[in-house]
Amino acid sequence: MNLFTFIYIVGIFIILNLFQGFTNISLENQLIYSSIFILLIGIPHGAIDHVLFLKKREMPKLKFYSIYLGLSIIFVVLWHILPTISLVFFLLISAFHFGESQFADVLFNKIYRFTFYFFWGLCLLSSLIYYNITELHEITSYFDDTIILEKIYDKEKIGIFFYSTNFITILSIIALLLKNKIDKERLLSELFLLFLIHITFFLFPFIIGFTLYFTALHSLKVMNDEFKYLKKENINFTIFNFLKLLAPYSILSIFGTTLLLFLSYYNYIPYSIPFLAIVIISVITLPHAIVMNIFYNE
Amino acid sequence: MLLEITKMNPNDYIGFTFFLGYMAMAAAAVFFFIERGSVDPKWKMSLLVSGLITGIAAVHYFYMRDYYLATGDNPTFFRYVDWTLTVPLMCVEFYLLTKAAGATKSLLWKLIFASTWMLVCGYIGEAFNPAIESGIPSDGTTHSVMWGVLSTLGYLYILHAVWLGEVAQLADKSNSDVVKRGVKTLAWFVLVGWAIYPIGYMCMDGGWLNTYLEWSSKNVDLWYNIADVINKIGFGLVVYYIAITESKK
Repeated sequence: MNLFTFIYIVGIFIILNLFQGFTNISLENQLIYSSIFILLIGIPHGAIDHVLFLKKREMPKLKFYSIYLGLSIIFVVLWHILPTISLVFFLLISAFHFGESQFADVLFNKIYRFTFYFFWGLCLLSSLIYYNITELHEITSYFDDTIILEKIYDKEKIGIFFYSTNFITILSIIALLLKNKIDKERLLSELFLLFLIHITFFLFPFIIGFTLYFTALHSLKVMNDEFKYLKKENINFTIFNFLKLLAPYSILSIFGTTLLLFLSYYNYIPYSIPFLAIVIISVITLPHAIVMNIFYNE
Repeated sequence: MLLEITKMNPNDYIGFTFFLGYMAMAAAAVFFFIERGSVDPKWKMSLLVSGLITGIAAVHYFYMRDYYLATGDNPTFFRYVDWTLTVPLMCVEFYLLTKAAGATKSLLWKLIFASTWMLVCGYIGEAFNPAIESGIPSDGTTHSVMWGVLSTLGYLYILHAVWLGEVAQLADKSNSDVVKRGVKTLAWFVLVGWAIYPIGYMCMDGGWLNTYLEWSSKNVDLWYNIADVINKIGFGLVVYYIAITESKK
């Protein structure tokens, strides 16, 4: 078990005790508290993409930002035109990105790696959706702009996806052991972690389950990888330096996101908060996932 | 007591596991005490502790079995008495295994304190729950959550120590691969095996798993019995394996 799994377990106990005390936490409160964690921990993990990319590349900053933001803008347009396809695309990118961050340290051939990352991430996301499908239907059917996304939450199709991706993922992890890419200890840890993730997604509401995974197991872990990389480049690099580096774009993103959500809340823009939240997260995920793929490949 | 029992219901799995638990623990205790003679002097203490853990548990299971058969109730009182003695002894095992790598008495006391804290808080949360007297599950919520949180702090300290903290670091420093693997295996017991106990705590009347998943605290005795047997005997067998392997070197 690593530090992030431990933090995840601590998170599970905290939430279990919260539910013990407050049997029902309203959706609004779930959104508020989850947003705080996602903004404070989730957003910052992508706030130094420019540093990671440009550290060993001779590319003008303007060109980098143009491409980075350009991809986001294209994705925004796609959301406007084809929201369902955009959601599927977002889930696929996220799946790959989650799988990559979990197994980036394991060395195996490119094609197998690519498919393995996808399946691990898809296993995770399909489980999240499968265990909370009724709740997702309730949330998405409530708003005019999210109702169109309901097509994805077909219980039967999600069920097939859930069982198949979990089966393939578990077999693939075992295959890594048989190919001596991981040891028995790692196999046990990964299978136990998958089990924990399943328990969490099953017991907790969608937003809480996702936030716990995203902050504890993904964002904190990625930030740790980023810090270790920067520390290797400069031995005097400290946590304080790292936080200073994360701060500018984190604050900008937090401010921008909060502003957009407020505008939605007070109906200044014609999109619901859940829809806006998905769009915002997805448009920053696309360029971020590309940068992180390059980062991990190095 | 036994003379009064004329028939055991074949569907009484809880009763079955009480009997099984009592005999399995007693047999394990005898085994560990006898096997002390087969290991090097430096490992005798570890096997003695394993024998004490299972021996104490055997005596308590003897009483718990009779209490359950007489009343049909959860023998909460006896369980916590048993755990308050045996769980700190399990923590002592971690100290004994890592002593050669530099474990100090300070580590020993910290682990004993954390485990005792965990159990005393859990006992107060479970046995002195206001809901027991009033019969209204929600009356006990604040009490059980507060003591549950306090108890969990002790558990998390031990979990951290054996996976990431002092115990794990000492095991890594050890010259013996057997000790390293053994401590890791025991750490899995703490992570997976001991998880049954907070789950059981949340199954008591008014607890979240009781209200949300409708898991009854009546069934939890079955899982406690199975978990206790696996955790205590399994724990001891891992220690035995380390002792016997190191002694053969």
